[in-house]
Amino acid sequence: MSTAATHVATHAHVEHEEETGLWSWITTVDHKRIGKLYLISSLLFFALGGLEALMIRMQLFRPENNFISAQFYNEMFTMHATTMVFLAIMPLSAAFFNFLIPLQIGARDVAFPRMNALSFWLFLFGGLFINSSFLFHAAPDGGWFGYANLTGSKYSPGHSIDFWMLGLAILGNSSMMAGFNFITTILNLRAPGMTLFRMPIFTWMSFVVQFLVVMSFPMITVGLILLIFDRNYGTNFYFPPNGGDPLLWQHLFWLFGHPEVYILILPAMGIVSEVLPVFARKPLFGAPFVIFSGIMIGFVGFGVWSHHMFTVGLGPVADSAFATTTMLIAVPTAVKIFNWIFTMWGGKISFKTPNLFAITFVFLFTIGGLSGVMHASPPIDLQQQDSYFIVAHFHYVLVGGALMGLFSGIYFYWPKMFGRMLNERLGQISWALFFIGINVTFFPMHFLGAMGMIRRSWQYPAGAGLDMYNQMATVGAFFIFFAVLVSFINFARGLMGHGELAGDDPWDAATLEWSIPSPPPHYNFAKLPTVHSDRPFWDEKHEGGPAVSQAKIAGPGPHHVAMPPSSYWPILVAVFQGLVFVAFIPGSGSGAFNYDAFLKQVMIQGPIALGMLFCILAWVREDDTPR
Amino acid sequence: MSTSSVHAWLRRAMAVVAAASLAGCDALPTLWPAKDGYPYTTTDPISDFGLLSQHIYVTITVVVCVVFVLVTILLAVTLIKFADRGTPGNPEQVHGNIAMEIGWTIAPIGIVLFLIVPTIRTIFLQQDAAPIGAKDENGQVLMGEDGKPLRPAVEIKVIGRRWWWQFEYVNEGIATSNQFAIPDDRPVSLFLTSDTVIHSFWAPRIGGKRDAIPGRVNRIWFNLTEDIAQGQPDHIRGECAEYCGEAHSLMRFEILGLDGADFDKWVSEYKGAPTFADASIKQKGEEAFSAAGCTGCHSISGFAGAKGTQGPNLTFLGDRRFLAAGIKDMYPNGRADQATARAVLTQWITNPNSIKPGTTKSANASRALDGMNIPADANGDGILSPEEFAPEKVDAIVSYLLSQTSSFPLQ
Ligand SMILES: [Cu+2]
Ligand SMILES: [Cu+2]
Repeated sequence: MSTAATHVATHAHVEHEEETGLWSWITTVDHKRIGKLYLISSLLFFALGGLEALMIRMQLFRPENNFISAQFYNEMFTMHATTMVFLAIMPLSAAFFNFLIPLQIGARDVAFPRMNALSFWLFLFGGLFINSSFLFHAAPDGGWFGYANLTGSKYSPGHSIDFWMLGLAILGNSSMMAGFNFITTILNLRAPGMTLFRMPIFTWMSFVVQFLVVMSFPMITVGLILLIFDRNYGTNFYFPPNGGDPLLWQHLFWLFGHPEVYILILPAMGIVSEVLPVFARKPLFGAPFVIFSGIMIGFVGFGVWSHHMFTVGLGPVADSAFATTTMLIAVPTAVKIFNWIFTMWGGKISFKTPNLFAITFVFLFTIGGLSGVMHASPPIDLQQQDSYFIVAHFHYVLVGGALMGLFSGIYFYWPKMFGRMLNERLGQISWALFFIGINVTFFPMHFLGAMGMIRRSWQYPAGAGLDMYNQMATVGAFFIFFAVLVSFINFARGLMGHGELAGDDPWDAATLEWSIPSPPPHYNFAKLPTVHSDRPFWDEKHEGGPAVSQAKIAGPGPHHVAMPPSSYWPILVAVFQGLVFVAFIPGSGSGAFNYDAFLKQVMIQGPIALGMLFCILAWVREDDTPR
Repeated sequence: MSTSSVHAWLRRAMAVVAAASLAGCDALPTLWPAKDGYPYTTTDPISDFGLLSQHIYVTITVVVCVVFVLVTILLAVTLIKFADRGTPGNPEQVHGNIAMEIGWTIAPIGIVLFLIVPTIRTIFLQQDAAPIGAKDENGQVLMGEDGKPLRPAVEIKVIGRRWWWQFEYVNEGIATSNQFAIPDDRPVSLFLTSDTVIHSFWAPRIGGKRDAIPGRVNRIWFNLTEDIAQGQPDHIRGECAEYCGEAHSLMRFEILGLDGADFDKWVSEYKGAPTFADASIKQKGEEAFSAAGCTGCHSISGFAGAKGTQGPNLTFLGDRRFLAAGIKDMYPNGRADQATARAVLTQWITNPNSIKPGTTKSANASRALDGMNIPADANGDGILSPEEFAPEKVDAIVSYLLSQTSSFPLQ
């Protein structure tokens, strides 16, 4: 067929091609657009959480400082952690789940596109809802793990804890739906020949994460519902004088909270497992071992939660058991680290920005993992728990680990997402500032912990030897600030259309997502490829393997492929569902059952719930056949 | 288990731990020793409980550092050796190596086994049966003629409040707040609990922390291992480690480590009431103390009217170096400088929120519902203004409280 004829033939379909404009984004069900929405909004929340961290570090620059009040400081560390965990790292991972998983498995969208949109809108509303507390001078101040009975109505009157617990409940809902969506997608929508063990490692790690999400979020949801009952209706699940037990919260929270650590880190591990091989020009060393160690981490991760509770007095048997399981997690983790290093061994390593971040992940995560082995031993944990040593440890894991992995992913996949390269020089500057900043900020915290500085401390005493390392940490935090700033400038330039065109495959990569145009058309694959190996695109390019790239199997576009229509029901359901939770606020915090207040709450929530029900019915009846 | 078999087991375990920390780990220099200005240091323990943690702490630190160095060298060599130098073609496409995989699966399992055995032994040693009294060099409890331990363990109930500590000597009937004394010649057993939210009792030099949880009682027991000279008490600092609300970071305490004979003297003095060289100080002070309504919440031995239990017990306040739960140093220039101490205490009485936010129930203190209530503070702003309470009366209270000293004032 001649080129001219193709053009004539496809012009007739132009009206079916991708729509533009605000409304098209609000009603989108396209996984790539939802991925971009996740990316942008989580980066904005990340900036907010970073500013909160700067407030903390400035307060701690000097001993007995009065830069901010104790109350505001407590709000800062609570919101910093809540934001970074639930509104930055998790949704940043979700951005990659959304954008990448269908591309990597050779699918045109996720299994439930509208539910995917609902997940995003719930996340966005949940995040805005928690942060709106600042407008009401009721910012959460109970710490990110909100220990009972401090969060009860007696010790936390007002609505600060209400914003926190209801916001988390909304966010949990969003994550659970996304979890089921991706499990279904991965199990059902793989391209022909894409067996489970031919799936890219990022998809594998994400697959494990979704199981962690759907199994761990119910735990915290139960905990939060009990808390809602305690605060609203005067039940006594956590309030000791009336027979409740504050440790019930700790068990429920950490049954969620520890798997959550792996929810945060496994996607970054997946990204690093994609990036390192590409820039070493070799396959991932021992891929099956990397996959199985990820699965192992997922399983064992559910059996270690009480290592957060070595100081509560569970007794020597429980302490020994949880110490053993916790130390065992070091084994699959070590397997991964050695496999990453030997992926590079014997390769031709090029130090492009994505790879700099990925290598940094391996190095810094190793430090965080090793310090974790230390407080896996309860006798040591008794000295480290709730001290700055712990703060150092989890920042190495979450900033040095998860965040570096995710930044590697942003720099690596940006060309695929937006069709243009990010500025390499700015990327390298940002990386250097990050590397210095992270180590200068967080390494001295190990020493501060060993000197006995407690975490969550608004003021530390003068004359306790804590001054110098705190000053170092504050200086380091500004390095991180500028690192983020430089990257954000880079991203903003990219969004404004700067940078050279990326082409389909700027890194000479191995997997399916690089075999389609950048940015991909909204249908992803004009013709679904048939996969014969775990590196189908590499094999086509370098090993004379069968063709999988669109250029070869589908020919030049544009093509028309029937796709699910956009829908405004997801955002409407999200609005109503958010409002149901918001309606808890006025009556909450009393700590006693009040018939009138309860009636009022039902009167408000009833109509909203009916509205939500109507939207769900309309959703069900909507014609979503691809067209 | 009898105490002697516990002891034998302890010694055997210690031998294992010592063997595990080969390579002269214990000979490592103490980082951040307390005497060099690190009062909260975790690396300089002075009790058997703390030393048990210390042994394994050092062992694991060494192992972890060795592993870190090896991995870093491997990574650095890889990055340097295999950096792209522009040679054409792709490197050999190696997919893996089963023998290596098995190797680096087994190696960490070995390390974990090496670490978990002493860990579990230490866990049980630290949480085994509590000691009942001081022991002789053979590990036998020293028994008196009445069949009771000669120097029985000192048992202290520790209660975390918002945001201060209460200490109650179970057998001696002494109550103190924010500071207490322990002997160096017999075991000390602490019963930790809380009547508010969860706190955590942590004196890093004594050893690890344990949470003080409402509705539960946790225990820590230990023997001081340092030999404290008579008349030269050791000042051991501690803090609340679990986030407990607005002033969580300002909830500290001080322990007076005493020679055994000194401790007995301390107990006998604290069982009694403070004596006053000038009876008018006591009389004026008690009058002002009652007039301000302080008696409703505070107790002072020797003052029949002051029996409140809501607030800290203020007996022998003149002994304390720090005010407001180990926060405000009253004697930064030494004990002779009484003027500073008076100024600090005056500030604490008239405007407590300026030293510790959230102390009072007033509208200005954001959320301290269980906080202090100053009856004389008529407008409820948390500040005792001269109009509300005459400065001379505040002065009388300050003199009264500061002159209550025993033989053990903290320097
Ligand atoms: Cu954990
Ligand atoms: Cu506390």
